[in-house]
Amino acid sequence: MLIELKGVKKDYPLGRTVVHAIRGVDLEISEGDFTVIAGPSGSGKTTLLNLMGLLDHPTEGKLFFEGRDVSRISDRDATFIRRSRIGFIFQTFNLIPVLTAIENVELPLLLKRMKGKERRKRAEEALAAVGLGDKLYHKPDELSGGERQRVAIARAIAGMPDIILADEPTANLDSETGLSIIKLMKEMNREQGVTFVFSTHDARIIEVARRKIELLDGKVGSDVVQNSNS
Amino acid sequence: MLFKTAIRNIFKYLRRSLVIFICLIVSIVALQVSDSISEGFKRQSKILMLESAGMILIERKGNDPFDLIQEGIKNFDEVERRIKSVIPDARVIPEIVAPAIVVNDTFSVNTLVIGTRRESLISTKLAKKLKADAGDTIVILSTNRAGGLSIKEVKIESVLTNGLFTGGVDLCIPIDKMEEFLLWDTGEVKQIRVNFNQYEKADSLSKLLSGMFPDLNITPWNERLKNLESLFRISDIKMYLFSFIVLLLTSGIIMNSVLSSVMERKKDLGTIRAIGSSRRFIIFLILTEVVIITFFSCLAGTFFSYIITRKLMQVGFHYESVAEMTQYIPPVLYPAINPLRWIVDVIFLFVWAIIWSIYPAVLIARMPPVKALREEI
Repeated sequence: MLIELKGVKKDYPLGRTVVHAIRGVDLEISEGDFTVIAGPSGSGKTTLLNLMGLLDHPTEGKLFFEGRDVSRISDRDATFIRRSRIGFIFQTFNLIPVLTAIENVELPLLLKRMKGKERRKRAEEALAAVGLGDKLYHKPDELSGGERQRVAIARAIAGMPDIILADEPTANLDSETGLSIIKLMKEMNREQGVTFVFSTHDARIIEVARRKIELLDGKVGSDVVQNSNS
Repeated sequence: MLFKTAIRNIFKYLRRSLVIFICLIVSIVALQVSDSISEGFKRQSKILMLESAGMILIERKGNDPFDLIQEGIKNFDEVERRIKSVIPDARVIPEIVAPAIVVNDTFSVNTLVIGTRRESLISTKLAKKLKADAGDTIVILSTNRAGGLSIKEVKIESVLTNGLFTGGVDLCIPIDKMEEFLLWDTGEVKQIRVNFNQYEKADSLSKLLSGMFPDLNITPWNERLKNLESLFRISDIKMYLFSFIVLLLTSGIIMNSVLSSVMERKKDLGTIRAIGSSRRFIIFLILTEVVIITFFSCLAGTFFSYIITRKLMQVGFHYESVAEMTQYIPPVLYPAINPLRWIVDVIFLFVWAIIWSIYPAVLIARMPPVKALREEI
């Protein structure tokens, strides 16, 4: 089991009140999964992904990464796991604006202390895999939305993580580009065995996923395997 | 890549970078120019004082200062020639502090016999006491070196107005007029003051002269005027206070600008943290930017300081009216560049800029990535 959540809750203080973003979630993510977390806005999708990505700590419950309890993990250890085992794709791409496409992809490899030549080679391969082999030296503001998200995917896969967490990766893209991004992710899942967990509320994209977890008001409403053969 | 990213960030957030850049330039110019003014004042005043006291003082060994018939330094011309052979720029001033007593009613005055002066001088204070003026003739009664009574008529050629002897009641008599009066040998002087251009070398030159004249007592100024440095420490303290105020203002501007700059890109830094950067990497990234800006600020600032100081060195600060009242303030004060002080200023500002950037850097680095990522621009 790659990730396991047991009775996880997450509360946020908001002024004098407390927002219960996640209200007790039990969930397991296995290696090679291609899972979508669906649900309306405010249902807790992003919070759940943040918890899985060790960007945040649960208020209650247990979170395991490869069997290790990481619910109260230190910042140093969480950083190490994120750097070596987890890839992230964000809704707003979150590319570093001052860096070119290839430099953005190289950045997590640099943080892994990979040597210059190997780093560049790996970044070039990752960008070629997402179809941007000819736009290595373009800065984010010189790329379209779809291209930016492809750079973000290349950045996530370049470090060969065990799992990629994508928070609404298609939300800022037109439907056609969004579908092509999901197809690309699925292809990588199938061919390279990369585990993907992504959130969306786009019905067409939900259909493509193998497993669908529906979140409603911070709780798992349903957890179904819908396309086991795809 | 860290360096490249830092440089690009500097240009991306150009306005804030410029604020820090200009602030640091102003600070370094303020520190270096004020340093130069203070250094110029110190150096010139010190030279005036040392010229008066003698950068190196030469006396005969074993003389009792209270012995009226003590031996002086003989063959002054030869001594002078040998001094000039090792210190070509030396200004060798022979002096006879004569044991003469000037009596007018109950007045006793010091009589100085100065070889290089060609006129009889009288201090303002003494002139007032004696009710004498330039052109008057006074009679000096004294004991000569053989113990006999000597009487000498001296015409006062001028009353001193530059304050040279304001501390006492003194009379300066040309050496040739005093030879007979004191039974003094022309080639014999009581002490020799040696001045030269680089007073810092007094120690080593003294040692050199000591080897040449084993029967003479040769002392550099720093052995005789041990408190002279502390006198100028007052000027240093004023400088430190001024520097402190400048640095305090600089620290506020630096911290504020760096803080605004990192808050503006909270999301980018949060992303870097999310994809696996350590807190240290974020701190290094921000500090690298500050170091680059500080480096170029210091270069530009030092260039401007040099231009300004050179201009001030041409124009100078005029204190003629004050200088008339005391001999230790130069009539025109010229700034002086002390390269070591300038380097210290640069290093200090470097460290200062880094210190005040640490707080914003640590603040953003310690921020949980999820909080930084939530930031919407």
